[in-house]
Amino acid sequence: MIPVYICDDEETARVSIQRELEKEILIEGYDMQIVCAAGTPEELLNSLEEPAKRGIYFLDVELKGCKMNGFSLGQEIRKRDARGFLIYVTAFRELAFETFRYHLEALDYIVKENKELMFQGIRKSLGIVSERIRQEQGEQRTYFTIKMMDVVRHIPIDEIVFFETTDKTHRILLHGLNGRMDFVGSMQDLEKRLGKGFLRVHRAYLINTGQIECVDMKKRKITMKNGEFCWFSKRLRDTLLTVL
Amino acid sequence: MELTFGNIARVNLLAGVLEYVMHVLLFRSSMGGRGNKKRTCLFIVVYELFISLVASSFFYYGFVQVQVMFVLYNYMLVGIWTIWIRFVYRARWRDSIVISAVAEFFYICAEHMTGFITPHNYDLTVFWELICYVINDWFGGAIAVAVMILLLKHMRIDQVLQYFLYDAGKKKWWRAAAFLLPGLPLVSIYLANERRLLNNDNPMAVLLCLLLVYSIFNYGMQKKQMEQQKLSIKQQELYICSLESVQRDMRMFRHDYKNMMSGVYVQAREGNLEAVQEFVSGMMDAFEQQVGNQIRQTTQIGNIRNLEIKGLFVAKAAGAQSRRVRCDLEVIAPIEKVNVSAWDFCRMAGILLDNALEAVEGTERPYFSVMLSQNEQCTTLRVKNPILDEAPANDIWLEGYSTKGEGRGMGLVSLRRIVDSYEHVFLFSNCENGEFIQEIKIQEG
Repeated sequence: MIPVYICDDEETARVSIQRELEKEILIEGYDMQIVCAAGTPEELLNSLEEPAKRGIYFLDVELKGCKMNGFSLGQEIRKRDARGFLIYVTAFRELAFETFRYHLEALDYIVKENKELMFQGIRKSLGIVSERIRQEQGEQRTYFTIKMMDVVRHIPIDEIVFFETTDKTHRILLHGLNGRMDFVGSMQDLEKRLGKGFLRVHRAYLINTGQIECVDMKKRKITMKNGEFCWFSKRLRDTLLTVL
Repeated sequence: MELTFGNIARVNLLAGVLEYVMHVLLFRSSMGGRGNKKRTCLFIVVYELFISLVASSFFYYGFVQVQVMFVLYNYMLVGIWTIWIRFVYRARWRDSIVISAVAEFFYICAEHMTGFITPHNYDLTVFWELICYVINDWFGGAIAVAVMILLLKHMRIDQVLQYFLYDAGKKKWWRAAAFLLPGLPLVSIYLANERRLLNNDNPMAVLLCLLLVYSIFNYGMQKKQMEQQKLSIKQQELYICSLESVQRDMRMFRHDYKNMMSGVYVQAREGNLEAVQEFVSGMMDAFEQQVGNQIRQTTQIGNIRNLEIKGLFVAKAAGAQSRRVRCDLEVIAPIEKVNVSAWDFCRMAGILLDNALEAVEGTERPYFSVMLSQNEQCTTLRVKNPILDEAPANDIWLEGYSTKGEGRGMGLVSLRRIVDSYEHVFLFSNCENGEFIQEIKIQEG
């Protein structure tokens, strides 16, 4: 049973959202229940369990007259419920939402301009939530997690092609199938973390053996599946051969 | 001709006339005005007296051979001209000294340029050599000084002096420095001549070359800075234009709805609720269309408190608009300072925005979004644009690669270079769900 929380300083909006939510949960038969319809952020935070169960939160973006605004409330909730679903409610049809999505991993936003739009929004977001939960249960992928200052990035291990050192100390460049990123780390750490499946073929390269396309023994060059090259050192030649 | 005191004095008297005229011209360009004509004519008497008596004595008794006396003599000239400026232009004493010293410095430099055409030291007792000396030193010198005066006029020396005398604040040290100027070339000549070492090594000459090259570099640096500033100002002007246009739209809208409101008031009084509802909703839409979007955009841009960065985003958004591409900028909280130089940040952001713009221009989905946010840990710039196909995300880092044709594709390499020059800046790029995302994270604190 997934707890659902609402926070909006306007009573009419609160009541309205609650009613629509109950309707939708009933219609679709979701395993969800409205636990709290708060008028202030403090009220909502106090109603969270210790430790907090993964929940769905409908939060007003503006929250007039309160110390916190929707964004900071979202940050507080995230501290306690890292995997909860944050859905924002706003009066503006076009909300600048990317920041919410990026920093808070907020799911979506709903417009409370009129009943019709709001209901559509609620239906859509609950649908996304249940779809997500279903996907996660069926998920087999392992992720490589790295904390970059204020965000945590998850990259599926099978999408990592290789790691490369750069001229800067402790700066590693991750080459993936779909992109690349640099972060602070050490090759030894990575070797230990990733274990089998990754081979340190050179002082500067830690490659995903599953992404090797072909190897040129003479030039000591490895071509990876995304078209990039890595070099390997003489000593590791034999280890590389055994892996292949 | 024998070098008696009388002869020397006579020759100097003649030279003095020419010198006086040249000096007057020089000072006129330095002061930016003519001064008192009558007094100018009167003072020549004083000057001729000084030249015929003091200058001649110095030469006759061989004082000019002694370096210190030679410098002293030149400073006496500075003194004479200080009095002259005070007399003719009624400037303050402390300003007169400075102007006199600076002008005399230029005069000395110009005079010495004749050294390039002087074949040897003259023996003034020989009549023919005396004639050569007169032509070479007097007329050659006069021409050199005339050229110097033209150069100084071109450099607006009068404005520079004005600035230093009145606007440059209360610093005293530069006045002392100006006073030392006339001595500078004289001492340099002495050092260059006397401090010659084995194998004709001449450190003074080398030092002067170094100073020259340094000045050129400095000039180059300042030009570059000025270019940057010019660009920044242009971008800020664009911002002001966009603010003014929002104001205009607001005024027009206010005018329109005042008219409409009076009509609706009547309907409301008559109880025609439906008509009122229709009007309200219609008005909200109209407002959003006309002004709302502009206001939203300007609010986001207004959250960027750094003028250079603000200017850049305004310019890029305007550029996108002119190419029929929508640029959605999101800055929901104010950004004051960034932990890299504003110029580098603008270059990095500029590259990302240009790339996004080029990627979507003319396609079915001509829009891209930009997010700029900051917290105590870091500043994040995130640019997202839709892509047609899953482009090979790794080739883009190679120099020269571009989906838009030959000869392009230098941007990301430059971006990488700027990022690499900082210890605390990180890049992230990814292709997913039909979107291409590029992110720069700058660590704060």
